[in-house]
Amino acid sequence: MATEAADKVEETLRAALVDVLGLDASEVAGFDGDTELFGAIPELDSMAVAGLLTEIEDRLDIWIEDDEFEAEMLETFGNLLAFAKEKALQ
Amino acid sequence: MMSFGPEGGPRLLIIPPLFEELNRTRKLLSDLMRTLAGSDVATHLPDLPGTGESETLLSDVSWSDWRHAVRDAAQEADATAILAVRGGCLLDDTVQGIRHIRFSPVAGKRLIRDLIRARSLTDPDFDGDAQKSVFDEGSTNLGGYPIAADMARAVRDAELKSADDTITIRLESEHGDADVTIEGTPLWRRAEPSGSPELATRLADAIADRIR
Repeated sequence: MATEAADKVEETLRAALVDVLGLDASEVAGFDGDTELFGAIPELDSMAVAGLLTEIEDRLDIWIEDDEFEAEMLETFGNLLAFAKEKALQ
Repeated sequence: MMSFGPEGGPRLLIIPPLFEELNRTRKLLSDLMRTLAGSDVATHLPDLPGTGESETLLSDVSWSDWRHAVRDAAQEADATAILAVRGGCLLDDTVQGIRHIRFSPVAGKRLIRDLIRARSLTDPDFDGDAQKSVFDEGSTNLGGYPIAADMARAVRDAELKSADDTITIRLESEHGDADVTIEGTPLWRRAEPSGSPELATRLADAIADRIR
């Protein structure tokens, strides 16, 4: 059950990346824990990050406080996923 | 005010998105205006005070200036319908008595939060205290626009007011209430401001038949 919920978070996160950034779904499907995000993907500039976070909040029904937010969590797909899981599954 | 399209048909006033989202949707709006002209709809796109060709400094502009500007533009254009996009939907209730169409409406709180977040990502000095000062000190540069504290507070507190006769259009991927959904990507998030002729066409189709 917990695995299923975790899979759902991951699926939601990938879908948000595709929709917000207009990335190719097959490209995003290939992201793994080490895939670099902020600074590595041209579509992901600071405005897009802000939008992406808002979108993730919406879709996972979570609220990210400003002081919870650290630039580190956008460094890799793995970091972002870990954060999203922690927020959504707590 | 930029006006486009034939006389004799519906006259649509467009209230554009606010701040950084405005830059990112310029191409979409100009494509939309051209496409609507092909359906015999004339469009009028005002520059809100402090943006575009306006000679006023944005840092001197208040929220009520924007609301007045929208009302004046509706009169000047003799608008028969109004299209508000994103944050522009926070201003459209100043005009009543004509059909309202809203595309991807967004609450002010969310809009200002996105701008603050965006700056905090690239500016290490823009810490918690600096973020709070957006609302109570001098103007702050957010997304390339100097936004006065009064303006920031007004945007933060601005909610979508229900107007009579409103049709809400959203993208399929969006959440929130909608009367019509269309396929497309949120161009207002795009780092590279690009248009989408497909989205402009779908949006024009969703609008044209509903404002006659």
